[in-house]
Amino acid sequence: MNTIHIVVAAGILALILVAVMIMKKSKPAPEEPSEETEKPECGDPALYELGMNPVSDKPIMYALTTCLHCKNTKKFLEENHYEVTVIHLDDYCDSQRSDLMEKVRKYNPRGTFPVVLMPNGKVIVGFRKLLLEEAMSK
Amino acid sequence: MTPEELLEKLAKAAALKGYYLHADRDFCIGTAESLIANKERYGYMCCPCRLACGDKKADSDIICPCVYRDDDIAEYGSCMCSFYVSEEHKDDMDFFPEVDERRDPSRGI
Repeated sequence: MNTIHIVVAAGILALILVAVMIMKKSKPAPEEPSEETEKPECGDPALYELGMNPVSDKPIMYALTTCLHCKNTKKFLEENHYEVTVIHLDDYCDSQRSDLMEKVRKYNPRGTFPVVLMPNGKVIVGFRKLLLEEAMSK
Repeated sequence: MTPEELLEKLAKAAALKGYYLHADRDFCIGTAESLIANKERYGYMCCPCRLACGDKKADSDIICPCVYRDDDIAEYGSCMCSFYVSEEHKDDMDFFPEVDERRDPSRGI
């Protein structure tokens, strides 16, 4: 009786092993990640160019997508009928991100956000209503 | 985690140090959404007011609450993002002081 049990158990085990091997073989190899999925999406090239050479008849704002003071600054400018071009640094990758940050530090050595370049050349750091109003009135 | 759940958690942790979240609830919800976005993007809740480099070790000082929060609150009454405030300003909806950045520029990007 014991011998029969052992033989049956060994048979079942062998079947399971064979089934597992077949399943492993038939399982498709994981797809190689495409270049598109490997590389994170980076920001708008045209805005990058503008950020590196900020010449415009509209205010340009260096900002972060996550920065509430940046959002409030944009809202305030728009409420005052100023169309502002926003360059979100956190949208950029690798050297573009550091290039833009270097540019921001040129206007604001502390590297805080937002940094607004007004068409009249005035640079305003942070959400500063009075300074923005003053710059808009000139 | 929803922004509301995160706010509840952060408010409890802040209370242990005698701090509060800003009185402007919408501002706090927006900040919580940004923290969640940074968690998804970088894997940690980096300060939403600063540009992260994406390396957790290099960004460790600006993971919220940042290491500058205590000094900022002691000097200005709020952290640089205006997210955490002192007891004195806990009910002030319009309290958004200009807080100088303490972080050494060489630490960032």
